[in-house]
Amino acid sequence: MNINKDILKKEILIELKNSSSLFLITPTMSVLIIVFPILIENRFAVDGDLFIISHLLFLIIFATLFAIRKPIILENLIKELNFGNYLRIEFFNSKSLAEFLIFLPQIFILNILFSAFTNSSVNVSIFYFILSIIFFALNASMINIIFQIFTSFNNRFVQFILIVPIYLALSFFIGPLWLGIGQEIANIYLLMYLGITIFIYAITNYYLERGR
Amino acid sequence: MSKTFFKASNLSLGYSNQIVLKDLKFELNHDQNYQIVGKNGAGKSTLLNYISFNFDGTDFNSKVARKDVLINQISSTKTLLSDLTLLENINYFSTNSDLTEENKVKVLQKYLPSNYLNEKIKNFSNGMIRRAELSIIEIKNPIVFCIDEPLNFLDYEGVKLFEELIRYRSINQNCNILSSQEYVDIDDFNYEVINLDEY
Repeated sequence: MNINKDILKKEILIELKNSSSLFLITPTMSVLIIVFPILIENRFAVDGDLFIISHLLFLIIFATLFAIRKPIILENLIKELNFGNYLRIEFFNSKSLAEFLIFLPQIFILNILFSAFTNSSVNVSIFYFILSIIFFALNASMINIIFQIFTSFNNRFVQFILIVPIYLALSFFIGPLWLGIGQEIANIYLLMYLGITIFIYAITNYYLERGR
Repeated sequence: MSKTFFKASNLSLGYSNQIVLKDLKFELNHDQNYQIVGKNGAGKSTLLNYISFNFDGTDFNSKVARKDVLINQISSTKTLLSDLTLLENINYFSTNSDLTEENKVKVLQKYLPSNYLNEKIKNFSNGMIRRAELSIIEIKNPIVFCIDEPLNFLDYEGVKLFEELIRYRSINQNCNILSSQEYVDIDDFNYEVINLDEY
């Protein structure tokens, strides 16, 4: 697999230095959305009447958080890759891996907070858990790329508004996988997720490569 | 062995259905220099972007023969990454250079003082960014170097550094392609002209 360590390093460095970094936003959002209501009402855990549909709320938080990504402006990206003499496939693979490494700690933070405050736990095997994170990270970075290919605006707010529903759809696969469905249904969900990932992966690669 | 790295027999370029350049016929050699001149909207930047693979419009299935050579372009807008420091940018954009980091910094110091090394690019002026990009070109020494509006943003000293770089590259028989509204006059710099106003 064509992974370039310089691109990987750059992506992670930018995420760490970025003012809207997920490493900063995830804990802040978690406090605002999960911890604050608990503290205000002087509770120790989330119960039914605080978050009636807590699982759905979790998905919304999850999707909202990951929609706050730095937009990829295709024109600038191509200029950058040509100036550094990097291949597009190198960028794509390294970017996907970087997104995975960035998402991983966020997902753990969210999951721990969610489990702690809703008294629920992850009901699938760790293998399924990690696979679902890989699929989500891949899809999230690919959707970011595809989105910039089909649209010419670079406004972060508009991107945020439009990407949230897409990420929400992806979260509908990952949420049940983590939060409590049987192993057999989890198999089906994971297979569907794999299909979507392969499909989007093919489209993204086609659009990235065709300009060359 | 042929020195031609780009040969167009009927090159048309445009955006959507609008044609900017029509039926251009020319070839570029990697040991010669070129100046693309033309008035505003003539298609100078479009052509330069096409030569350096940065074009995102349509080429109307033009017939173009290319050879795979190392091409780098400095465009009219910055390419460096705003959130990274100067040193991180230098390392990111010059990975295929044979120079060590120490030597890269030495080259950079010709263009900018070393106290900017750990400063983020977003705090730089346009002139400083232009100088940093020129230093990357010197570090990488690509076979073909394209630059759009070369004198933009540069002060007197910056222009001298640019001219020195171009002369050095010309002596080493590397190709420089300059694009601007008027001819850029550099001592001991021989070039061919691609005048887009004639097309």
